[in-house]
Amino acid sequence: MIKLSIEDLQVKLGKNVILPDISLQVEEGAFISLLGPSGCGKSTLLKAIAGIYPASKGTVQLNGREITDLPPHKRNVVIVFQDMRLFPNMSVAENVAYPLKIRKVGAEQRRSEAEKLLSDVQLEGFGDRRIHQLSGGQQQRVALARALAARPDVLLLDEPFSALDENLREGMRALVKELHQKFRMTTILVTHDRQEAMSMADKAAVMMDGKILQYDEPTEIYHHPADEHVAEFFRDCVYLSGSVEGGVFRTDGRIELPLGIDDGTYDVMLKAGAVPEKKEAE
Amino acid sequence: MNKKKNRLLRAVLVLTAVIILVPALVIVLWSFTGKWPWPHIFPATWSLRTYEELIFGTSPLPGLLGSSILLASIVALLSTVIATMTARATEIYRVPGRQLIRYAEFLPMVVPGTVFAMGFQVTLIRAGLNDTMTGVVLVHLVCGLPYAYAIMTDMTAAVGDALEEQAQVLGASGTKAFLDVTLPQLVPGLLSSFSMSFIISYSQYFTTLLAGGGQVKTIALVLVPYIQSGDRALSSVYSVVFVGSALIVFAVFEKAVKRANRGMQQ
Amino acid sequence: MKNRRVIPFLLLIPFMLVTAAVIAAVINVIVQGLGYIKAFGLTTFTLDYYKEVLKRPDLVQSLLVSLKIAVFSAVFASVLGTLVCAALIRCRRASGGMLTIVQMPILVPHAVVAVFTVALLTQNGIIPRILYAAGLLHNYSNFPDFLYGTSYTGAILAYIWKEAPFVAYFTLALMKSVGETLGEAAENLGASPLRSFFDITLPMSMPAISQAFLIIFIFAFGGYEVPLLLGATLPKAFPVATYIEFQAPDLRDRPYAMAMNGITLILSALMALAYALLMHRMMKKRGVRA
Repeated sequence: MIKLSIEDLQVKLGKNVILPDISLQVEEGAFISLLGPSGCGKSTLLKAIAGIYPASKGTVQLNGREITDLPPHKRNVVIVFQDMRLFPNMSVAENVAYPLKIRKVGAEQRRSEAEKLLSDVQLEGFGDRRIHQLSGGQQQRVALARALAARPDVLLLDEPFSALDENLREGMRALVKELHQKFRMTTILVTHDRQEAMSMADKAAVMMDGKILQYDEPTEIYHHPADEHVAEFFRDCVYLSGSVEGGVFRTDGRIELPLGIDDGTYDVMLKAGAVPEKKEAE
Repeated sequence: MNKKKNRLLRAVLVLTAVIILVPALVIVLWSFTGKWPWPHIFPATWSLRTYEELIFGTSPLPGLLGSSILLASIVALLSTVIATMTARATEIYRVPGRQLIRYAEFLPMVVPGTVFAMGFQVTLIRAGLNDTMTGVVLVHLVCGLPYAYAIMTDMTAAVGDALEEQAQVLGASGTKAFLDVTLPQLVPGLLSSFSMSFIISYSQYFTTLLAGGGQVKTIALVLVPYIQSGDRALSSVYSVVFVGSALIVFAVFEKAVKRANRGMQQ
Repeated sequence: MKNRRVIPFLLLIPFMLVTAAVIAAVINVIVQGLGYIKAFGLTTFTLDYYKEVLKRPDLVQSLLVSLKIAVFSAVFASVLGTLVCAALIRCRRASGGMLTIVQMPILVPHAVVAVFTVALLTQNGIIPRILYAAGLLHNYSNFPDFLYGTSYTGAILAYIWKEAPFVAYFTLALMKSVGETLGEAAENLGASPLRSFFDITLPMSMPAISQAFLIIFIFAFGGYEVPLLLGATLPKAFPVATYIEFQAPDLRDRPYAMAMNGITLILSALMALAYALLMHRMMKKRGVRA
């Protein structure tokens, strides 16, 4: 079933056309990623889906209902922003419970739901803290819990891991995947990180210059890039997901590499070494 | 070398503090003075005459303080609200021509208060607002607004609308998002804007005289004739009340700003 | 979505009303100063009132006195205020008790500043008394006549007392941030603290200082109660003289007062224009779009 359907969407900011003509269908419960270099319009698309930027042409449908002209607060499409945007005048629990408060949920239930969500993001007992007492990774978890509290029809993640330290990102990615498994909510992840897009999502949309060049399953994009731009975007490296058991890395049974490292899930990166490129020199 | 220079600058600060504080002390002395002939450094006789006059005289203090504070509070409230609205239009909604609006905000600073008050009197008379509280409020508002605009524009730009956007995608309507998320963050700016406009209205003399025609009584209006008459003890006692009450109001607001800032961080 | 377009204009309504009031006052001053007051039967536009005002020696004297008060007050307040500001930052007193003291004159109304000046600086004020006690003064009549004289020294000192702290407070945030970043960089490159202050911190703080200068200039130029209470009978400060004309019993004389207000307005506007051009050039030189 189609959850979110975007057709011929055009978005202008002032006189600049940022997105000339976007169409995108997202299945119920799917996890898709919007991938592209910075400035390609992926965050604009996210804000247009959420209703922050108005559409100048085209339609957005959610659950088969047109929402193109609905204001942000009536869409039930929640963004988790890169800069977290936690409310400094509220405690952690008050932040998480805020969507419930708007929806007129009683105080007692708000408390218990907020606690439940905080434990979902591994922050039990943090409810009474102030925002500035949290680390970046903890703030990101609170932002995630708060978004989940709204029980959104579609959850939009705008580069949610890029503000975090490298060593925190992997844990957050795993947490997001885990929460997606648990709540099964339709999720769109915006990222410029190819590995992130390809390893986390069921489907990825590659965006450049305000257009979607290819929208497909990750392996399809690897193996059959739609055009040279997509190919170019992936040229210098390719990721293979798999796992290591007994010191041997396996992916879909096709490749086996004896590596002698600890067991677990891994991605193997293949890089085109023969292509002379500036990046290689760096 | 460095230390010597710092000592010089420290001396500058000490001298500044002395120059600022000594006049206030002298005025307090004068307010209790009976006779203070040349060349005594301290008054020769003490008296509470001025305080009797202050409380039981022609314009009793409680009424005078009450009307001055009421007037200044109304002006401060209005100018803070107007400045907040205008700043929102220019900084958040980014209305076309906002640069022009920012220039227009400073227009009252370019038109001296005396010129404005004399030029505006005809308009007040035509509107039937001369010699009324409303007229005085309007004229004071013009004098205080540029400062309120400046404070609220900076504050609104600094707070931005990122959190408001977030609240809206979480389901809050525009108004609710503003009230729940943006307004609490604006509190320090609102308080400084209020206290600044309050002080400006509280200090007005000429504009009150012209727009109020003597019907709207404030401390400044009562004080100036005493100074002109040369009664140093009486003008001192009104000065003490004037500055004292302004200081108290300001201190209360400073404290509130600090608390609001701290609340933001905790 | 429609709201998003209407709301900003609703928000601007009170701003427009207040701005309209200021513009109405300015138009009144201009029109009436040109001799047009229909209600009093004056229906021809003429520059005669301006000419006559500028022909009267007492009024020209008044204008010069007011310009003098404005220039001296603004220059001294700006220089001293900048010095106090630098001292606050350098001595790490940019918050707390010392700052509170520096803020105090901002709270003191001009009429009270006049009372302070009288208590301190008249010939039997506290300062001559102290000088006498210290043996530095033989008789009070030897103390210079700061007040009620044609020099308007008392009025200028009163403005400096009130406005120098204003300059310090107004400039503090900018100077502090410049000093902590660029100033430190200059010292790191080998500039002495004094050198880095004059080469970097002071020029970069000029936008705030010059804006404060403009505000003080216009304020002192158009100010009423300070020169009224501390000045001479003749020449009167220009706004004081203007108000006397304004109160003339024959309403048909109103254009004189308005022509005088017009002159004040023109000079203030020229000052603001000069400031705007200066800022524009300064910003352009630094590659900042004004």
